[in-house]
Amino acid sequence: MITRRSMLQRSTLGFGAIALAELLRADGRLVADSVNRSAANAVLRPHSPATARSTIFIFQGGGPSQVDTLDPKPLLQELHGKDVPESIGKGIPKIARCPLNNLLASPWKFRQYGESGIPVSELHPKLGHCVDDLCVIRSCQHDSPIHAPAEFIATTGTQVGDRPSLGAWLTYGLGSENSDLPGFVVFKTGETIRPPAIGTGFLPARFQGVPVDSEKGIPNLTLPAGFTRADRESQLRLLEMLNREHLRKGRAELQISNFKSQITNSDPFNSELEARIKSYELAYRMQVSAPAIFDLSQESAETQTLYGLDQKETAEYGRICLLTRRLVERGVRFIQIRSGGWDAHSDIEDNHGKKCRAIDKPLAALLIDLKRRGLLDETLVICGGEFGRTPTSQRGASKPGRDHSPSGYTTWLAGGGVRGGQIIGKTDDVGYAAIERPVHPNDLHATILHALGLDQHELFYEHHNRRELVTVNGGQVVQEVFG
Amino acid sequence: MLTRLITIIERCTALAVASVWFMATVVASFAEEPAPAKPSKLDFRRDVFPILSRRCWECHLGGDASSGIRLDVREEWLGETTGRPLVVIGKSARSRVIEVLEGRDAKIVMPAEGDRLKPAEIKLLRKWIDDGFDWDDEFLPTPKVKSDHWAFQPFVRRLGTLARPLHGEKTKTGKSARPTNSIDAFIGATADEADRRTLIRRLSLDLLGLPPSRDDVEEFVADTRPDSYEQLVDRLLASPAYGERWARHWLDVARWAESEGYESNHPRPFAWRYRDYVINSFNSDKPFDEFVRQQIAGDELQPYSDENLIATGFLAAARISSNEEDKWRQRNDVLVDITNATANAFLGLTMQCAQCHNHKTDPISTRDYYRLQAYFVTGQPIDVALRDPLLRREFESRRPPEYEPALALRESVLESARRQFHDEVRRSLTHEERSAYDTPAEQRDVEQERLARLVDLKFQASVNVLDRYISVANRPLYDGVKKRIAEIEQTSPRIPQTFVFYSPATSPHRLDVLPSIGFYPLPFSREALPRERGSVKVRGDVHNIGPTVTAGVPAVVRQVFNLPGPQRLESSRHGQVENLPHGRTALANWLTDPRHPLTARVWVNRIWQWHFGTGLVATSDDFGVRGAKPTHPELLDWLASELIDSGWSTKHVQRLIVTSRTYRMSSVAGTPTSERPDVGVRATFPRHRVEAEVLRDTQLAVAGLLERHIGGPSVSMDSRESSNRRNLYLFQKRGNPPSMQGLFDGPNEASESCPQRHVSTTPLHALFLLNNEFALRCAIVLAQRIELQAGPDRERQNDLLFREVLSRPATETERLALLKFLDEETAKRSGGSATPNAPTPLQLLCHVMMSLSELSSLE
Repeated sequence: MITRRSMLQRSTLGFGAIALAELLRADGRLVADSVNRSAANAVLRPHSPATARSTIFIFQGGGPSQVDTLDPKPLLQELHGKDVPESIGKGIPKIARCPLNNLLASPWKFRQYGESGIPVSELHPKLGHCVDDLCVIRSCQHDSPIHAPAEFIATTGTQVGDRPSLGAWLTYGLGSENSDLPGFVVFKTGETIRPPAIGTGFLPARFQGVPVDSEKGIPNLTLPAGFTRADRESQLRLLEMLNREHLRKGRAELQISNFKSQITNSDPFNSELEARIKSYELAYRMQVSAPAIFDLSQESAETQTLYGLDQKETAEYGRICLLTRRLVERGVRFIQIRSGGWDAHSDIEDNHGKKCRAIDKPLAALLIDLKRRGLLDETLVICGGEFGRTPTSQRGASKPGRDHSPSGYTTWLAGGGVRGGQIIGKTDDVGYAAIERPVHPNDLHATILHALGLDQHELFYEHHNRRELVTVNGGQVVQEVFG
Repeated sequence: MLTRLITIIERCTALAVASVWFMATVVASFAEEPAPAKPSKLDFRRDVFPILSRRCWECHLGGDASSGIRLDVREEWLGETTGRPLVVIGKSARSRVIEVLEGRDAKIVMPAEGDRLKPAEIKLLRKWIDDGFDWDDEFLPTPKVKSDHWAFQPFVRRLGTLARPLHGEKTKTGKSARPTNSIDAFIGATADEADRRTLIRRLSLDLLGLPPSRDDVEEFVADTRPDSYEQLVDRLLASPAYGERWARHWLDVARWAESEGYESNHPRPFAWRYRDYVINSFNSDKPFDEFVRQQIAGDELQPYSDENLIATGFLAAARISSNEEDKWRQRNDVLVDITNATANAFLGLTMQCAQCHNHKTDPISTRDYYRLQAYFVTGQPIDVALRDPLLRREFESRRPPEYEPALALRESVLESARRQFHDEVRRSLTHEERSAYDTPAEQRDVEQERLARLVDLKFQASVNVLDRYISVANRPLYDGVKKRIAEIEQTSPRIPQTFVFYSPATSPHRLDVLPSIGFYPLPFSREALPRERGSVKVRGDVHNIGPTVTAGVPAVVRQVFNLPGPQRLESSRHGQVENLPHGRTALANWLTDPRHPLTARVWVNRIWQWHFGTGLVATSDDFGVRGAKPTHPELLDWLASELIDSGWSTKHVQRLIVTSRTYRMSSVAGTPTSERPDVGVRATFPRHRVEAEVLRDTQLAVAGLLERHIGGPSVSMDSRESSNRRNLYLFQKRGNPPSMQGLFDGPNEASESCPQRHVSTTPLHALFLLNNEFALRCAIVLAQRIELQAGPDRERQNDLLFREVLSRPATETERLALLKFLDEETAKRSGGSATPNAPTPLQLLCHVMMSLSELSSLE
């Protein structure tokens, strides 16, 4: 007793599969394919030609400072210690914790890189050399100055934290291209994960991001202590045999019924059982192939050095970025790298210095490595925080730091059809608020969907009789990104 | 003028159309006449209507009146939706409408355009009001929101006594007579009855969420008494595990969890009392109407009981963002949460759609939404001390005697700090703020009301804030006493308390409110809450306040019956309640009125869904126009009347369901009993996967590890994964569920009422079952038990294993497969090269059994 709508909802991976669902409905195989649908041969008809196949979202939790990284402000250096001039101040949205007094000059110098000549600060000497691949959006803007709500805006589109995260949406919409791996992988780096950022909201649980420890890999992927692979293989043989026997018992008796058509419709459970049998095969394949993915000794010494695996400071992000490339190669749809700790209320020099020393080289390596393998063209890379930081100094900080500021901050994109070497938008002369081409995180979401060939108005999920969209609060594709 | 006349006509009953035309003519001529001759007794149609239609309705007619106030409905004159009456019946001098007509208010004079009313006309209207505000309801009736949607119609109550199972109906094929009851009259159940092992396992998993023990199975199989099945049903319904299982269903609907949610997500360490309340309610078969009343209005009910209060945990289960600095939004979010959950849970309506706009498909307006919300505005979720003398005595006996005086001392120091703080806030107010705040609530305009509330919030201060206002002289004393209290609280139990919904305005009980946790908790004020009034939030925006509304129920359901008795909420400035019944009690009484078209239907449909996997209405949270149609509407109504006739007994309905032939059918189709494939024929029992909790509890039970004690504080976050208690008792932190619960589609964020679980199938499930320590632990213990009971004989081991795990003997194929597996694994190990902690063949086998599809299927 499953309505057609719920059947579609439960069993398919969304819009792209609707056509397939129509076909399958005819012979009742619909639910059986719920696992297949995440496999490599998933039927997909994008709404428009996709320029990206996978997405890497480097989330700089805490909020990196735009005026110290990618948005240089000479006037800020001049006005150090002074208040924001009234001419600029009147254009700055009034947001709690965003004072207009006591400007703080950036401790870092900027220089221009590449053909595009985009300025990058000393914090990112390696990334600087990739600047011709970057599209730097300097005018990101929303209105929440508090970490969690802002993070939820960045990852789910609204500040509440109860809607599906972008990774879940994309996995729902596109499936994974690799049946041995989850479609949505999340790398932890010590900080706890705010669950909504990788959660599924109203989408089914299977689209949830799978948190992966860069050292230990996917959870529950290793055999219990004392088990050999041979043990597991005989277990699986027996398990499959018994599960098939269970399935057969249900089926066999169906054959004798005079009401075959009705019964086929009324027992989707057989298909679900079939899917479950299949899931054990997939799990085992994952178990066999995934550890190899996490075995970085297969990479050349040159590559390992490129990512900085040999240096203590860069080793963790190096591992994560290299693993990310390996996952992208294997068709994982969405990878979220959580890079927390950018919340430099005090002593920004120490904080950002350390953070950038850890991440600059691995980030650049990821871009270089993707590019030389021909993967950058089909991989969209996004990097940014939930907001930026105030050009003014944090009140009461022992050493100079900056407070949260969502009024104008920087996010960069690369690869996946993005036209590199360009800057979009502009902040005011002290780098406080976007004054040209403001881009809301919802616009970024629409843009990411677009790169993946998805129309933000067509990718939907029926919930409470409502077509829920990623961009529930609106959002426009930032077309210039694609040049 | 023409369109206006048409509107006027539409407003009048068909009977009155002719007279309207007549009156319209009269209006025209009347305008030219001098003052009418004074009649001895006023006639609404003859005397009042012409003035209204000529001078008021240009701007005050119809639901979308340009002024926002309509004067063509009697109730609107009495301020039904705006909350501001325009007339005081019998007292024209005090009536607002006369005030503006006479020009006594400099700000507003009516009519807004054209000449003022003639003194004679005003005099006539005054007389109308003074004489009792006589309205011709037949001529100008209150418009009714009407809908012919099935769910809003009264349900058909079939005559007759409660259904009793009927026995002895012969099947056409001449097979054994199969039991049947009235449910089967509505559904053509075609399959044969399931075998007895399947039946006891199905019943047990369904009613208890646990598999039957091997002994129970054998006993039932051997029991040949004709009513053995009914006796089994009674036994299971009487088991305390029944309440645990069915509580979890309700907790889904109640979006219950043990933390605040949002980013702050502070724990609610005493929310478990509500969970236990739900368990006990199911176990005692508490009448569903009482269950509803306690949860909606427990703090208002007389006499006081801890249980009533704990029940309001339903409302209090709302998420609260304690990091929210915008207190206005913080409170509104909680109210929205509560309104949505109430509408979803009891009405089965998606009222949340109407938070920002009139419902797109259902006849529910934004005003309906905020009128429902208005029942909740004077209360809030809060920690409250319980009064149970036993609990209190136990608590007091274990608490050092100086605790109470220390608390009092701390409070008195804080009180002086509070005065300091209060003075400082007051000095910081602007002139507008101060004057708005000092204006009595009933005299404030909308803007003043908004300001006053904001000011009120400024006076809220957490202990941390007040700490800064403690005088230098008091400081050492305060710090000392604070430290001592902390020590005592660390080492002795916390005061018995629970997390409830409490309105100091409508509750007749003065409850002992305890300090809230969190950075910026939702402020609680005995003085401010009673002043709260419901109001429309335009487009859902908390800062865009529309008209004030009084508490009320959706108009479309009022078409069936009206809310009985006085429903207006009256409270004095001191928060003492004068008029009974109170706000939410009236709501609860309305919800549980036997004439209510939704409450009983929605509840029996949920019960049906939880038994069969899908409800008679497949969208169990949406009985609206776009929800699914009932597959068996008569059955739904019949079950609803059975519920009510049995005194709202949930167990009665469940007994009917599980003793029906429909429920007892095999899940595989047998020989059909009817040649006629009727609509609504049910061919088989619909198998489905058990929920995350049932799977985990079953694994523990099969292993023999399950701890069975009922209720109490939840298992802490640190111990959840290693605990052997039922999943229900593992701490329910929002966004961070116990691992199996999170993976197998159990509750996660609990951000809204969950009508039905998803069923996901992913390789991560398989990985969890095969590699996680949990299933392995169960397998090892099971293997130990099997070895103990069966000895070394493999045939016996295998037989026992099947009976323990799946409640049935193995088939021949299975028997041989198991033997082969054990033989091969034993042979592999005979070389003696195994690692020290290598699993034994039997352990490997038990581990496989823990992962079987059949183990997690309701067959």
